[in-house]
Amino acid sequence: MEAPRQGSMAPGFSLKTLDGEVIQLEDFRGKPVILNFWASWCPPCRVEMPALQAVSDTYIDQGLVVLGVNVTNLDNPAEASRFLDEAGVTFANVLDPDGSVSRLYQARALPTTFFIGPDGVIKKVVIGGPLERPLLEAEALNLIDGGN
Amino acid sequence: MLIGFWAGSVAAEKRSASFGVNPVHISNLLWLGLIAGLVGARLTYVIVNFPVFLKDLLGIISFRPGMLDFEGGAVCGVLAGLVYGQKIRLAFLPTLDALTPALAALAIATGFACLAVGECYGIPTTQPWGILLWGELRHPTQVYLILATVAAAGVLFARKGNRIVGLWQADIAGVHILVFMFLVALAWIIIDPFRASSTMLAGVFRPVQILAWVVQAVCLALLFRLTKKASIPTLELESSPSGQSNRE
Repeated sequence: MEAPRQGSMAPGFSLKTLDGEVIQLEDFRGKPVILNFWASWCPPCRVEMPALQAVSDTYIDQGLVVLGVNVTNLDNPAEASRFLDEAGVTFANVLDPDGSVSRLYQARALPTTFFIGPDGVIKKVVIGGPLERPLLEAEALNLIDGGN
Repeated sequence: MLIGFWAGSVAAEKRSASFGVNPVHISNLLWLGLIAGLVGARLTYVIVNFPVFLKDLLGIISFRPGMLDFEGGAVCGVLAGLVYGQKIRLAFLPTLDALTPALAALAIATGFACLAVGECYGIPTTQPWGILLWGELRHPTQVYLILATVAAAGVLFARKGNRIVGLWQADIAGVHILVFMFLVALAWIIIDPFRASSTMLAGVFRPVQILAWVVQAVCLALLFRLTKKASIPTLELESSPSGQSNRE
């Protein structure tokens, strides 16, 4: 059953990056994914972005994918792009221009983070932030180990 | 959950004197269990994931609720309660009876919490009282469990005006907690087949129902033993004026 809750299959979606590249969640099946919903005006989202980048850098070689979804219907693409540049974020970020994916995932509070296993099942949902690095690393390792 | 804990602790303190237990001790027991549970849950999470905390030791004292291990917290909370109870020599069965309202309140609060976040939901249904959740009309098993727990609490604590008509007046220590557990186990036997997360063994048995049957059997056995023990007449030796002893 697809549902944005722990234990269910993560609902699929297809969105574009700031560069216009299309990314589908299904592209990452077989890899652990940290899916983070954020906005540039959201203070805890901004605070936790370096931790997300650090975890992405640390575990990318082990197959971890960190994917940001900017809730663009509540934000501004230019502001989002500027924030990503300032924060030095290199992991993929997609835009949700009409908010359909954030509604699909019921991401009513920002940030909301989904930890998705290689099997596509949501292992954990964390509403709010900022997420500390130990939590991100611990859950990333659980995702990676769960797939091994 | 916090509201349930508060309501339960107020109810338990209010009734504890009737079981011969000091309300202050009950309050201390509950709050000690809660604090020990939270600390234990965090410590367990840290121990399990210690390598990542080595890089950021300050993360250990974060207020984030996501870094909590439920099982570790439950064990620590119960252990802390047992140690405290032993230290101040709390009578075991009367204390459990005094804690029964708190357990009922926590169980009811858990049901509401599950309903609020869409957890513990039921299998699809066409019944008019089904609730729309995750794209389908489903049995409101959270509501079923809430109602069952309220009914169980009603058996124990029902009042009619100023008159207590429930089991409240049973004066055998241990009866309240055992009856409550028996009734809750009965509720789980009935409700489990309607839960979406209910599992089957060999396509026939449901582990939760089997566990509930075991709980019921243990409760009945203990209740029988307690009531039998309470009904055995006591033998008293009295000295007669001639110095010989008589038995009643």
